[in-house]
Amino acid sequence: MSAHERNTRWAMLLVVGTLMLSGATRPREVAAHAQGPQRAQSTPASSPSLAVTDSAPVSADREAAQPAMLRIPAGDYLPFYKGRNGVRTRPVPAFNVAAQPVARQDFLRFVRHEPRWRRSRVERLFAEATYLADWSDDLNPGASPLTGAATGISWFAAKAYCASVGMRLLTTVEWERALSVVGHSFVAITGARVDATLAASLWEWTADFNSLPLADGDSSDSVATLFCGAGARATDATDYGAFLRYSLRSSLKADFALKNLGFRCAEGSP
Amino acid sequence: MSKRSWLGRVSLGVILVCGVFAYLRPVFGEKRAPRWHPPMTGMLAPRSLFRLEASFQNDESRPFQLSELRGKFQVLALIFTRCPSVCPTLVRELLALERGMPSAVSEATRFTLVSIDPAHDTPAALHAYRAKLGLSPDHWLLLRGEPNSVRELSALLGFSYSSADDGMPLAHSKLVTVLNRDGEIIHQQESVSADSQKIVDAIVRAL
Repeated sequence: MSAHERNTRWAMLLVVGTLMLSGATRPREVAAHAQGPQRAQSTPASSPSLAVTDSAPVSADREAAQPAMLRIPAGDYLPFYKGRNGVRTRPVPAFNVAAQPVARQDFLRFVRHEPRWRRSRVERLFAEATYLADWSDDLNPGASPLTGAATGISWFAAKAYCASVGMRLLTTVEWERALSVVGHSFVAITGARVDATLAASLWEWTADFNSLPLADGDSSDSVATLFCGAGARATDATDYGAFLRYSLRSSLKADFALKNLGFRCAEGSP
Repeated sequence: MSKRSWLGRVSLGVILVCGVFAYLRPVFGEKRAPRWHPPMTGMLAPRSLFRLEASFQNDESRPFQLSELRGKFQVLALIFTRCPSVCPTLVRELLALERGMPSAVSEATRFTLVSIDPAHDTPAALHAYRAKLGLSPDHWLLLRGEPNSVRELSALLGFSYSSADDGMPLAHSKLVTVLNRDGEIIHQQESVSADSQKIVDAIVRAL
């Protein structure tokens, strides 16, 4: 081995070692944050791990994350259940809702900017261990299509995402009203067939998933009684999908990260 | 200049540049990630409720962070002062529980009531509630918070509630939660009455 080769190897080793010590073992993070002077350092040929190019569109411009929005006019929502005093509708103010659930590429962009919501860094209080379980690593969403719905995301992470794009989660009543106004396309996801009646292939978080599906001062029943006996109290006994959604929401906890549970964002005062 | 020393200088230069990069990286790279927690929470248990970044206020209008509950066991319940019968019953059961506690347990334990009706339950309303039910300032804490803070706390506890059209909260649960000194949930039960000993037992086990 010539002195030239030996020195070159030492130099390469030191570059790689120093970069690793500096915490730059997450190449995509470096690429995403590299601005100005760092850009030149993030792509030395001596370190193949730093030459990773992002397969998804990367943009610091948050406008790129703004989804197509649907306008849901003010109106009444008729819940599937009825209170002790009979059927009660709930007034719902106008709001805008994303036409699609948040996609994996959108969530990837989010975790690039918000390291605390990456899989390896998220705090256990806010997301259980299955958080983003189908991702290969912190910044690699795996083999599934990037345009597919982002799932395996906890309620806290979903809330943080919507806040990051200047929006919020829908309330439960808003979600149900949007479905009734928009119809089946509200839950028809690109690239996946969804049973629009049940809307059960993909469930979605709501801001108040742990609210009670009650419309009036019906305060003596326990929740268990409500769900066990809900069939008898249904306004529309054929709306099995709505019943299932309420049942599922009532069983969720805020740190759950389920593979068929996604979310979308809304804007406008609830 | 020999080839060898030229290479040595290049390597030295690269090392220096990398060192500068490593030094500056936190400045550039993490700029968009403001700290999520006050510094002291770095020592908190992973599932400590004290990690919740939520703003509360006590019945003397003082801003209150859940992390201030650190160091004592907490018996935690969600209530609202307009609650006609369920909440006063729950609070009286908790008072009876407090009186019946062995002194070692009582000394290590505090009671925290959080309102799910923050629009109505002002600090003054909570203060009146304290007087009405005779809740000692030493052992009982009454809190209200922003609706979002209360929703987040309730979601962590697994407590369901909603607001009816007139703004009156609805809750069907008398859920009582016991936190250890680090804010982790060590026990939960629906209602106190029949099983108050289980709350004491949970604290004794963790003492």
